Amino acid sequence: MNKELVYSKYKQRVLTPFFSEELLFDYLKGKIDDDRKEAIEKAIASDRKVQSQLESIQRSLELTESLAEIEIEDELLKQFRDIKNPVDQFLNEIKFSQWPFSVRWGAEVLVVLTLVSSTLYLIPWSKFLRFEDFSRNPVAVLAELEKPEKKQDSNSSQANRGSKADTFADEAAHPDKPVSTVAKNSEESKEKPTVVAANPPVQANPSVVPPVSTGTKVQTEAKPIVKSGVVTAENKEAPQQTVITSGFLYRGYMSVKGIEMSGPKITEKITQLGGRKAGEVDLGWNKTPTILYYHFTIPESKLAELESVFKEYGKLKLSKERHPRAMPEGIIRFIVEIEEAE
Amino acid sequence: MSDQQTRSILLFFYLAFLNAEQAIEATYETCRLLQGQWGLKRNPGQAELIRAMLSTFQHFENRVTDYTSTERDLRFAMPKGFEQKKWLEFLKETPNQEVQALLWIQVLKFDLPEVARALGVSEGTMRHRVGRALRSLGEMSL
Repeated sequence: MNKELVYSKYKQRVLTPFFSEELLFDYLKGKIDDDRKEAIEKAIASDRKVQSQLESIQRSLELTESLAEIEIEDELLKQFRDIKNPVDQFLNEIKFSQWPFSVRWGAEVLVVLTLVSSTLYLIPWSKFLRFEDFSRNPVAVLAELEKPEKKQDSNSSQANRGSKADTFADEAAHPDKPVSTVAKNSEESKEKPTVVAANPPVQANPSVVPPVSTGTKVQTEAKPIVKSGVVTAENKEAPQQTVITSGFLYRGYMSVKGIEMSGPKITEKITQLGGRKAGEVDLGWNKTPTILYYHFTIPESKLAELESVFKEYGKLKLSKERHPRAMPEGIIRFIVEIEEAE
Repeated sequence: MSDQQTRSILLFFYLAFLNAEQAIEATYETCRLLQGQWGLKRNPGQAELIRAMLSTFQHFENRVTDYTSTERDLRFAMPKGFEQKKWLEFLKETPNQEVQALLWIQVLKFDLPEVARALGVSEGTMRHRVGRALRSLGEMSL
């Protein structure tokens, strides 16, 4: 009853002939543990095939040992001692080292220059530097100016405007009558901030924008998008245009007694000095019953005279402000409000 | 590169192709390959030699043809009793990986762990390949 029954094959590592053959090389190299070694020795002793495999491996090992001793002629090994890369071989063949110094130097410079120039030529610089190929796309848009779309009957417009010469080239068409909404017309701050004006040649009497005639009805319709400062490769006759990034605006304020009487006089004197209305309302427009609104342009040389004109009627508070709309050279723009003094 | 390394490369390719012409050509290619990598400024290690030889071997893999004796073969002093036809049969019948393992480890005496590392396989795999190559070689009754 005390006899222990063995139910498992724990630690009984029996090797099949297949595994024995596979492990023969490890056995000969001593790379297996003692249990495996013992099992293989049992397999060799008991299995004729395993024994035969062991013998063939031993024969092969003897052969490989003899192959390791194969001798190679020094002459053959010598060929590989001075082996050179293809460039060196080429230089040896053409006997480059025996060339005169100046010729060698020249050849080296030529090779280097060729390499550098071909490298520079092959590098796609436009991709790196983001250069546009101007020859493929000759139109370069410098800026876009948006103006509100307005339609106007040309007959009434011309009749009310009187003279076409009252507008500068950079002024858009405008309604004759002041718009009833005060804020819409008078607020200069509502002008579009992104304005790039072309710089036409300065003239004493600036040119007029000619209206487009369509039969009996003339439409002076401002385009929704006016491309200003467009340079084309073909249009070589176009006047040289300069992009001005910002300009100035003179903003003034003064109180005058009896604006109903002095207003028209001031308007007349401004006109005499070469001033022309800017924007959409006439000079001396009644912004409110007690405020006259003057938005005009005038040659810069007349600034002192203009100040003296205003000085006759009261004290003008004048300030010069930066403004996105740039004026042509020699022309300045004013917005002056004259209020009825209390 | 040392003469010993050159000898190893030459012997490897000679025994792998059993053709002196191809062995010399392959040795040149291997030397150039190593030269391109190391500029012959220093002796390449075993792993680098093995990789270069393997790369060249793959170019010549399909060029193992029936043995034809040439004058150049005389430059290799083969051991007595070596039967070239049997060896050629062994080369044809045995997978390349096993032939290479046998040559590197048993003939050229490269370190087995180093060869395994160069080839990216385990040492057990290398021992298995060598063992099978040895058994195949033994069965050829050389």
